[in-house]
Amino acid sequence: MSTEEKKGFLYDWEDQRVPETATRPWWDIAYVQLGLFTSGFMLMTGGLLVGSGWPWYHILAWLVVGNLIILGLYVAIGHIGVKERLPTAFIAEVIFGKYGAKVFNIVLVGTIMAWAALGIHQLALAITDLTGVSIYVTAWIAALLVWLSSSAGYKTISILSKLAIPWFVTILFIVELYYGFKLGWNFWGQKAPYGGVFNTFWDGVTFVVGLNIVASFLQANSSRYAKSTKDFIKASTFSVFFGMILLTFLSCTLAAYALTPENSFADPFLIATRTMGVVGGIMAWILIWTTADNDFWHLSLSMVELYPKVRRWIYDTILVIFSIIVIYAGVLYRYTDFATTLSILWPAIPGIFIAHYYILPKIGVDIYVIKKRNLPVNALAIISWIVGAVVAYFVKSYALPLPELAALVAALVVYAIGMMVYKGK
Amino acid sequence: MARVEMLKKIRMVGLGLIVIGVIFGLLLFSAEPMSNTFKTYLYVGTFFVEIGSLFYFAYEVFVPEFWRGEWAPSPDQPYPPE
Repeated sequence: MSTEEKKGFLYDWEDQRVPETATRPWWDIAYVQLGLFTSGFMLMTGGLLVGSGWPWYHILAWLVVGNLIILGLYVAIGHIGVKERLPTAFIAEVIFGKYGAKVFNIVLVGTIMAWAALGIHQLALAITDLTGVSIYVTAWIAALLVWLSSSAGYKTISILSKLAIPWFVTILFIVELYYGFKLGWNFWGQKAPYGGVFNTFWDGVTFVVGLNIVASFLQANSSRYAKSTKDFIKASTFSVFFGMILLTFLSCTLAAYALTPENSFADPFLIATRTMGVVGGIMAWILIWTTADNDFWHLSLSMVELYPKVRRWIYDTILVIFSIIVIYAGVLYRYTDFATTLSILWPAIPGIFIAHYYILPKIGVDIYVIKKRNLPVNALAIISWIVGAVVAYFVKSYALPLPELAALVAALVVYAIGMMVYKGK
Repeated sequence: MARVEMLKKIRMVGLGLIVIGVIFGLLLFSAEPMSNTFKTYLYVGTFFVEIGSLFYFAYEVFVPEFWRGEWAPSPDQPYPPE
């Protein structure tokens, strides 16, 4: 199939390099990133932080330190996307080998599918809460909304983000400040039933890093549309500082106003409607929607790598419909299981990506060595991934700080050393 | 009027609407939480910011070439060819 035949509104450069003419302005990419980060979970995080009993300066420090680590990872992986102009699913072929990448993408689809379905389920529940319509109907409405904004990949995701994000960075930001002033900014440091349990300073940083580290290796999916690495750094810096630090920190004000000691759970929909009424309810929908469509976009890109003869939008449609089945199976009630699985499985991947693209050239290994030697599977990458996951599991089991970073570093070191040895063979 | 000029005008109108929306948002500080005045400012502010965002940021939706997959706003070509 030629490039000309493939072009069209629904084509997302899913199996080819994004050409220079199809790149996007930095602020466009920042909005897409913010759409992914600013989710309903942001409002919940406000409740977890403000009810934790810690003072505001510690909470702000957790957000700054944790997100600076995340920003570093996003820029490192994003640069790979700018350089290759390919989605993460195809960059995996450079690292894992052609068949190794299929293992990577199967695991990605298998685990993140549940997470993506959770997004549709949360959106359906939010619509049900506001309208009273049965979840069996709203699940289809939610699926249709997510399909609409993910059907053409970056193009449609960007449109929804450009409608939603300016609203968040202006009106939501003002409302958060408003409730801060109304409450006199003296609500931090209280222990509340809906608050999170953070025994030490580093538990707080660990929580913040865990929020978005899984998204780091997927950054190439949007950075391939950046004109330059400088543009991607501008986009990531804006989205991380505004979305993940400022809006998240100030969301504590909404939770502090909306929640009472009777609330044992920081329900984002409750927080939004008690502080902003119907508009708050709609805002909660859109917060969830802009995250869920990103999930299906990433999944469908992996499906293209697995079987490239089918167009990405068709995979997107199938995955969205399949998510309804997952929802009917009661996925939301396994939320903690999925979150734990993702946080064990995925943090090693950015470590392997960074080792491959940044350390291998320094030790004299060609980054395209796997392809040039025609290796179907790079066993070293798979082994490093397993080592990273095992490290994450044990560090988590012993409740030590920063298990995700430990996994990342372990995978990075094992992979770099392994490839250095392999170089000599 | 040339199409690019028209799009630039649409964007300027959008920017104006966002500014009006933000002003309504700032008026919230003069109202009590969840009062009718608060809700009015919030809803009207939201409306203006949303319409303004459509015009200013998502202006590609007004260009047929975008829906045909032939053009999208890029740093080098923010507007479609005439």
